[in-house]
Amino acid sequence: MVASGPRDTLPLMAGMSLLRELTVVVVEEGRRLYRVCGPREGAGFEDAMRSHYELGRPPRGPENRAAAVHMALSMFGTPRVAHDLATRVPKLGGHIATIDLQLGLGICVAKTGGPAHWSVWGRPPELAVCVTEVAHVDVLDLS
Amino acid sequence: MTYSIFDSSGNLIDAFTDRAAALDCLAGIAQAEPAAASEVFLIAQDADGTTVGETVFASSVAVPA
Repeated sequence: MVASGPRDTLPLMAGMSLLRELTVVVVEEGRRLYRVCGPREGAGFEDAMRSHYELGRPPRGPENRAAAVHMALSMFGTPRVAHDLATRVPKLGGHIATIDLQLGLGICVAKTGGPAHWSVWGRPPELAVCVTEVAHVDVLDLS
Repeated sequence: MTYSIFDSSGNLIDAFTDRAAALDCLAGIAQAEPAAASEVFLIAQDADGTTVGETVFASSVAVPA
């Protein structure tokens, strides 16, 4: 597969990105989202609640343009989309966390990217409190 | 169709409605950070959010010299 020169097209790519305007909403009522992760009993499960920035990963490409993306967690509004992603890319951990976001924890969300994708900002311990279930993709209830 | 680029943490890096732009973005990441090329990938979703087509890893995208 061959792509055209990335350096020449960088400004054009930025212009075509869907991540150019974010409407951030403070969570003020319960909201259920799903995140791809590893098993809950695994070491460092709380790291599954960390953004690239919090994990100490350098900004990659577009994350240089939008620090908010570098500092966000990805979650999905439906279990099926999370299941699709986890099934296609096993190295993501093979599990889906059901996350019932609670008000009063400082958590913020924005609808970003593709269908059902949400960007979420919150402190990892508070986000971990919101995890109500972690299921392997093979036993996940998709109803 | 939406083309989304994620990394192995499961976090979104960028998203496009244009496949060529998404592939250019993927190639740019592979060029800037070759060690991460196997960690960064592209998926396509239809309007319902159903994932379609192949998952494309940055490591499989050739970057012209």
